[in-house]
This record gives sequence, C-alpha cells and structure tokens, in this order.
Amino acid sequence: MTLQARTERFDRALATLRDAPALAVPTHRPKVLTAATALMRDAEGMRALYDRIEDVLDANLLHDTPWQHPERLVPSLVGGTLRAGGEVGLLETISELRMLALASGHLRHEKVTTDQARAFLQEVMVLDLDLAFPSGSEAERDVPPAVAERAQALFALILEHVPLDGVKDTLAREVRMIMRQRPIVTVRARTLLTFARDRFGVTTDPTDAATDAATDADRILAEHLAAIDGPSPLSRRHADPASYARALEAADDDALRAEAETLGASMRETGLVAKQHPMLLRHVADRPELLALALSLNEGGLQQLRDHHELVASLIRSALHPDTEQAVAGLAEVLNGGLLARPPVRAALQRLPDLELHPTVHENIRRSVHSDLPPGTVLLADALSMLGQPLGISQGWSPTCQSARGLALWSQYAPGKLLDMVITVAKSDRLEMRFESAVLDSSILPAGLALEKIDLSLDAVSTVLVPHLDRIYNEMMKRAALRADDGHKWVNPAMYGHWIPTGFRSAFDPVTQSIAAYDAFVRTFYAAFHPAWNGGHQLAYPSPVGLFVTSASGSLLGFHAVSLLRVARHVPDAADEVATERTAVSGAAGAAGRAAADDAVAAANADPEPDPDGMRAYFLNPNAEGRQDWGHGVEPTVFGHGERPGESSLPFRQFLSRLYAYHYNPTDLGELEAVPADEVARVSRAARSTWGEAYFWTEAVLAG
Amino acid sequence: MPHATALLGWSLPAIEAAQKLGKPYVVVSFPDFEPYAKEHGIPYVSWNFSEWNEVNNSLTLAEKLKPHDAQVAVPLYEETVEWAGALNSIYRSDPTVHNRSFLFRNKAIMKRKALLSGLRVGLFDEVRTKDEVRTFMDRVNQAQIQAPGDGDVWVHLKPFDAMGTVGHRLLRSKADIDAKLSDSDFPSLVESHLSGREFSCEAFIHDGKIRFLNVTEYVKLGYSNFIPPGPELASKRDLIWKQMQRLVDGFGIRYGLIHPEWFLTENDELSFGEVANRIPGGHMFELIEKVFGFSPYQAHILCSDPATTEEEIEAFFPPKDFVPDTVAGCLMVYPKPGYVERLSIPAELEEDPYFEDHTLIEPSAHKVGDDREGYGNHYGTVFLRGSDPDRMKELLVHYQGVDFYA
Repeated sequence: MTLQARTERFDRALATLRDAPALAVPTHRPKVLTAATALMRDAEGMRALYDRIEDVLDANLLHDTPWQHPERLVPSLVGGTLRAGGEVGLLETISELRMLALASGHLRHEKVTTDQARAFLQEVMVLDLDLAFPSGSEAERDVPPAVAERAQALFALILEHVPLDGVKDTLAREVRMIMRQRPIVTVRARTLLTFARDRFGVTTDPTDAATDAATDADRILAEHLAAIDGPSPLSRRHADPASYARALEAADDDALRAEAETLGASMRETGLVAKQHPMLLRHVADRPELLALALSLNEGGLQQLRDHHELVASLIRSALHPDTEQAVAGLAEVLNGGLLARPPVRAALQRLPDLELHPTVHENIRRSVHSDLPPGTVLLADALSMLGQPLGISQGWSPTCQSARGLALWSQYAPGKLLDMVITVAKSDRLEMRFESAVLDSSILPAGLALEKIDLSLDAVSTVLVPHLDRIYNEMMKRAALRADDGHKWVNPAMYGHWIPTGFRSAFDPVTQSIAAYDAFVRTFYAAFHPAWNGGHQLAYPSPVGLFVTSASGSLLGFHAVSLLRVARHVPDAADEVATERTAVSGAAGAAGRAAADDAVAAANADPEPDPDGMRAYFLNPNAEGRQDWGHGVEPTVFGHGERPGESSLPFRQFLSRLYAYHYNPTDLGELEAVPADEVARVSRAARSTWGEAYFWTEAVLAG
Repeated sequence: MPHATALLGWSLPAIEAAQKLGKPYVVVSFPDFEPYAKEHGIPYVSWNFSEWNEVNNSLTLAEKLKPHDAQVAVPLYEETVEWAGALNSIYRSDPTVHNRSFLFRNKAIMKRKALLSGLRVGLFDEVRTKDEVRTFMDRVNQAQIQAPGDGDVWVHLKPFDAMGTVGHRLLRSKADIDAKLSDSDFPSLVESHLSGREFSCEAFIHDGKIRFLNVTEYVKLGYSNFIPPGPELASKRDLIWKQMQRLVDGFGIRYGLIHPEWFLTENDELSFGEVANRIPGGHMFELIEKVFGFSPYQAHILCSDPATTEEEIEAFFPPKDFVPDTVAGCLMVYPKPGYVERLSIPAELEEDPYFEDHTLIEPSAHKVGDDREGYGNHYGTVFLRGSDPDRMKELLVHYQGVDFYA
C-alpha cells in the first residue's frame, strides 16, 4: 500500500475521531489504531505518523489510557509492551513518538523537559537493545515479525534525533550498576558490553581508554569489556581459551604471576570473569600461591586454600571451564567466606561432580544453558556461584520470590542443607519438606505460582530447586489458608527453617479484611529492629518480610517477598562518589518515569523523609533488578548508601512504610512505649497515602 | 423547551448521533454505564432492564424520566423493545402500543400476526418437548409427501425472544432432534424451512408510512453484507416495498424502525422470516450512512417521535428516486477457535481499490503485566467501498475464506 494511501486513510480516521465528542472516542479509536498500524510498518510511514503526533494527541488517542501522562511512564516497562503487540503495543509506540517529539523540542510539556524525554528514550534503548538495534539473533526470534518491523522503524526514527553518545553513557551506567550488585547470572551485562564493542567500537585496549578524548563512559565500558574479553595483554592476544592455555604452557613464572594478578584484580574490580580465566586456574591448580592471586583471595581465603587445597584443585578441574567462567568468582567467595571449613559443605562438594542426574533435571539444565558442557558440571559451577554470592540470586521472570529468598538464606546460613537439597533433587527430581505434622512431597503436588514453566534466565541451582520449592510453598500456603492470621506466620518458619522467629505481625487482619492496629504494627517493628529502640542489637539472621509493592505513582501493585538483612546507620562520605551518580541517574533516566510534580508535593506531605540519623534497612530483593521506584520518593538503591553487593536499601522509615508482615522475636523486644508517637505517625501517613488507599482501615486496638 | 427522547440501551454511536441532532435526549441503561455517562455529561437514567416487579416497572421508569421531560422512547436493543413499548403507551395514552411491542418479542405471536396480515410464512408451531418437534417434523414430511428413503424435511427451531441467530437450530433429520436439542431449548418455535435467498430490510416509519426503505444483500448471514443490493435484488424493490407496507399495516406500526428478514424465491415470491424493532447488527447503520448520507440513528429518533413534522421528515431523507453511486459492504472477521497469535491481512486486500479500512486490531501475544493491562478486540470488521455491487460480492465471497488470524 502506498504511503499516500496509508496516510490518507489515517488522516481520514483521525479526522473522524477528532471531530467526535469525547464520549465517542471508543467508537472511533479502532479505525485510527488500525490505520496507524499500517503506517508503523516502515520508516517512511513511522515518520508520517511522527509528523502528525500533535494531531494524534489532540484527538485524545492516549486519553484514559495508562499512557495519558508522559511524566508517569517508566522506561523499564516499554520493551515488554512493545513486544506484546496488540493495542497496547500500538499505544506504546505512539507514546514513544510523543516522547521523541518532547525530546526533540517539537512538543512541550510542563512536566517533562527535553532532557528528561531524551534520557527516557536512551534508557529505553539500553534496556531493549534487541529491539532498538536488532542483529537478527537469539532473543528476537520470539518477537512476531510485525512487532520487529515496528520497533525497527520506531528506533531508527528515534536515533535520528537522540544522540547515540547519550545511549553510550546510559549503557556504561547500566553495566556498572548491574555489576555492583554482583549477580550470579551475568548475561545481561555481557550483552550490553558486547553491544558497546560492536556498535560503539569500545575496545579493551587500555591506551584508548586513557586518551584525553575518552569519557567516563568509555573508561567504564573499556574496563568491564576487558574483564570479559581479556584483562591482560596475553589474554587479549589469545581470545580463544584453548590458545590461551597453550600460551600459558610457554609462560615463565613471572609471566604467570602477572597473569594471575591481573585477572584476579579485574575480577575483583568488576565482578566479571573472562573465559580465559578458568584456563589460568586449571594451569596453576597445583600452585596455591598463584591460585591465591588468580582468585584474589583475602587472608581468610588464603588460609582456606592452604587447608583444603586438594579439594579446591579438584573443584577447579571439574567445575571451571570457559563456559562456566563466572563460577571463578563464586569459588573465590566460597574461599573468602570460609565455607570449606564446614564439613557438610566439603562432603557435598566432593559428591556433586560425580552425581548421576535424574533425566528430567538433566534435560532442564541442558535447555537452560548454551553450552555443550555436561549439565552436572554446570550445576556444580552454579552451586559454587550461589554459595559464594548468596545475594546475587535472582528470581528471574517468575513469581517465585519466596523460593529465591529461601535459596539466599540457606546459602548464607545453611550451605550444607542447601547442597543437600540440590543433591536430593538432582538425583530424584523430588523434594520432601515437613509442614506441621505432614510430610509434603513435591513430586505429587500440583504446580505452584510459576506454573512449571522453566525460566531459562535462571542459574542451574534455581532451575533444579525452584520448581520443587515453589510447589511445596504453595501447598503450605494452601494448608494455612483460612486461619485467623496470615498464612506466612506458619509457612515461613516451616519453609525456611528454625532461624525464623515465631513472633509474627501482619498489618492486614483477615477476619475484618482491613488494616488493623497499624500503629502497634509500626511500634513493634521499631522495638524489634531499630537499634535506637531495640537495645542497640543487630539482626542475627535475615528476616523474611512481606511488602506492598507500589507503582511509581504510589498506588498498590501487589505483594512481594524480600528478606530484611540488617539495619544500620549510613553516613555519606567521600567514598560515596556513586551516591551522587545514583541521584544523577534517577534524576535523568528515571525522571520521566518518576513521580509527577504533584506527586512530589504529596510525597513531601506524606512520605517520611529519610531518618535524620541516616538509619537504613538493608534487604535482599530477589527481583531481576533491585533498582526500583515505588513512588512518592521511595526508591530502593543498590549502591552508594553502604550496600554490600546484592543488597538493596531504603531509609528505615520508608522501608517500614511499605511493609505488611514481618517476623520478630517477642522475648527480645525493646520498650514499645518508648517509640515516639511522632515516628509512628510519619510512617502511618506514608502508608495510608499510598498502598493504604486500596484498603479499609480499622483503628480497633488489638492485643499486641 | 422541546421534550426529550429516551434512548433505551447503551450505544455510543446512537448517543453521538443524538448529540449531533441537537434535540434533547436521555439515555436509559444499566448502572454499569453511569460513571462513563457522568464523566462525559450524558443525561442518564440508570435502569435494570432485566428486572420487572412492583418497584421496577414502566411506571417507575416513567417517573424517573419525568425530570428529563421524555415523551418518546426508542429501543436500541432487543431486551428494551417492550420497555419502549410500555413507555410509549404511557406517552401516547395508548395501551395497544405496549401490546404491539410483544409482536416483536415472541416469534410465535409474530408469525401468527404475519399470517393474519396476509404475508407468506412457513408452517410453524409452538413446541415444549422433543416429541412435539418430532410430531411437527412428521406433519411437514407428510404435507411435503416425503416418500420413505427421501429423508426428513428441514425444520428450524428458534427461541421465542432471542435476537438474530442466537439459539437458532437447523434440524435436518429426526436424529438431529436428539443430537442438537436439550430440554433448555424449550419452549420454542418450530418452523418449516423457507427456501429462497435471505435478505434484510431496514424501514423507517412515521405516521404509519414507510419514509425510507433500505435493502441489504447478505453474502453470508452474520458474516458479510452490502448496501445497496445487487441488480437482481434491486429489481424487486417495488415488490419488497409493497410487502413491507403490508407488514407495517398488518402489525399496526406507526412510528420507528423495523428490520425484517425475507426470503425471495426464484418465482419472485417473498416469504416473511422475522422482524425486529431495534438497531440491526452487521454494521448496517454504518453502511447506510456511507451510501445514503444520513445518520440512521438520527432517522430512528426522528421517526420514533410523533411530534416530528412532515417537513422535517421530507428534509431529512434522500428523495425517493435517489440512486446511490456508492456500494458499501463489510466482512465480519472471527478468529479461529483456540489461541490467536497474530493478525495477517493479505496485502492484496489493502491494495484493492475497494478496501476502505478495518478494525482488526492485532492480538496481544503476551500477557502484559502491571497496570498496563489492555486487550484489543480479537475480531473486527473489514469495510469495503466501491461502485459495482457485483465486484463487491465477489470480494466478500473471496475474503470469507481467508484466515485473518493465525
């Protein structure tokens, strides 16, 4: 169909919509959308649509849709909606054209500046590289052709107006922030870096990055790219791991020492591991002093290596291959964390390499990795990663936050039990757990929340365990339903183990179906967890808590399980250069997606300002991404506020204002009445003005 | 201030047309639509049409409509026809208006009235059990002198009050009676099969006279139709008009719209199928507007109101000898049962000069989370427009066999 015919059809449909009264928009919208679809098919059509964007907006096409207010949009949601296609995909595309018009100054909006719109689009492109810069490979395969064509036409147009340099800056920040969280699965960071290399010509040559023309982004990208492509001159010359291994054969001791130091340091700095790195470890497996350098071990790690050198050498040979390179970092942390001092851990790690996998488990792991390695090897490697980086776990794209939270907890406090579960399930494809007087067998339970679909973005330990944990968790919740309190009260201790204290408080009262005795809920939390009111002690173990997740505008989205890890004071200091960067990023990239100006006013009234004494809650959020925006200024951060890798944090009050349930130890509680009424009132106001709007509140005082 | 027209049922195109007509109106429909009405300043009376008792009846509805000064009621949907009849009885102080509305709501009474009015109808009966259907089939077999081995005659079973093809069962044999019918299908109407081409008419009536008659050609019932009809059907316009006026006279219809279906046999005889008193389906109003240049929704309102003057009527409709130069048709697209993944519109359809536009929104391939949920229509309509009815028919027949959703 010619461009002219398509534009005429669109203009005709749009004129009908524009001339219709507002009440008739639903009648006329379908024809405008289908005519727009025909325009979105190619570059010239997309441009024609962009030229008409003002008329499109005047015709109220986005009115009464989630895209109505550009200042409330969130870059991370764009890709999913574009991929979904359908009416939402069409409206999303139009919304992006509006953002482009704002970014290029063709349109003005009182709440979105040109810079904010540009940052929004750059963020979208970095988050959706496969759509924005298609290469005809992997992930795009499951996108329908119509969606791919549309995305291509859209992003080609965006790139005409939005400088690619800005995309590079966003890319660099994104890589850095992902890696600050030290994830177990590093596919995302590697994809971004490969893209930076192929598209922006970022090289690993340190002299390039050192030139005056190099920007911060160049340096960050070069450093991280080097970490995966080749941190040392020798590894850069021998990108192929086999060829690198041959080069090591010829290297003298000084050269080996230099390699070990360089690769070890690169891994420590970036969290990323090169494919050559496992070859180096295999080569020096019998030389503890070189191993210690290559693994960048601390004092404790070095001692562990001396004590268990034989086991370490055998783990290196069985688990570390170019395709399991990231497990090098896991092994290093296993040693630094002293895990090999535990006999059950040693026993399990000795057993895992020779384990015969159940055929189903074998197949599930095989499908989730792009490697010819035996699934057992991948499982062993990922077990090392999980033990070494318990907070690097992610629930992936499945609603299995509870299972992920359990894996992280066990890997920190019961690594032997965790490995035992891995071995049990790997061998038999079933798992048993006790709940009250019953034994639950995962192999005969119905599917849980995740509906049995294997999430291919997960590590192998999660691939093996999560389907079983999810089914058991679901069964426990079923058995605890209809009791007079939240089922988690009984399920969490049964599921996670005896670390979970038996005291439990929920803000929601199932009997009256309302938020009841909220002040006592807040007061108890202070008395249990805030050092100023609990007698100054720290949490002994992570505590599972339930959260109300709220959108960027503060409204209730749903429930989420996280673990409270610790509560500590954070005083910003000079070492926190990243803190300001976080602000810069959320100020720019998050700006358009952030609370509207009116929301900001509401936030000032409603949300507690950070505690003046800088007390923060540090927690594990098993979401694929810990950086989030819960509205009204509540934005969990992942670094720059004293977070350890993998931790999220919020000011104590803000964290509490999104809680709905927690466990505590009733015999180890501070004085409830000592918590100032003013503190309680601040939290309560914040809760009521956000998720609390979705609930009925009762003031009835219940016995605490 | 002039009185208002009450529109019974929720239809955005009807409301839009009423607003553009510039006469006072008030919409009566279920409470669900009230927020939308309020938001858009639509005069609204919230009403539950499916309830009828001592507090929810036409007298209380008339009372609720008093502040709006409604003096005419227009039924937009099948379920509102007798409500409109009851209200108009009150407004015109004539109880027979209400009774007459039952002619449209019970197909057995409708058939009897048609027979008494001198229209050709099939043999029909009211049945309560499968046995009675068998007996009916036997009688028709006998009358048609079916010899053993000839098989059974075809018989249709229809609920008394459902719209269009809802609940309609074609019974080709005794075996079908057991296979296709269940106890919940009774009581209902059975009727011998009428041969001939089926088509529909839309007639706007004021003061007992047909003021405008449209004839719609069906390509496939429920799937595709176009306006005005091809030459063959068009040549029967006088015959159709005569039978339509007979129907209007026989049913005693004074004001409003009727939408009957007829069967035209090879020897130019018309059999009466059934008649409705509400907006027709199949986008017919949209097609009429394209071809004749007036809003059928507005025509519906004007003709329903006894106070509309002859001059207004004259000025509103095209002259009787108006020959349209446009043929407008549409194809309703249904997805195949099962999971629909993508929309594929044949390129040659969009290239065709007759192609006008469509409302086929591509399906969403994935579930979209958060508050971004939204679902497109999983089916829609292709609109065609041209000048040659034969070409129109050819296209509609061709694209009927095409799968738009894969």
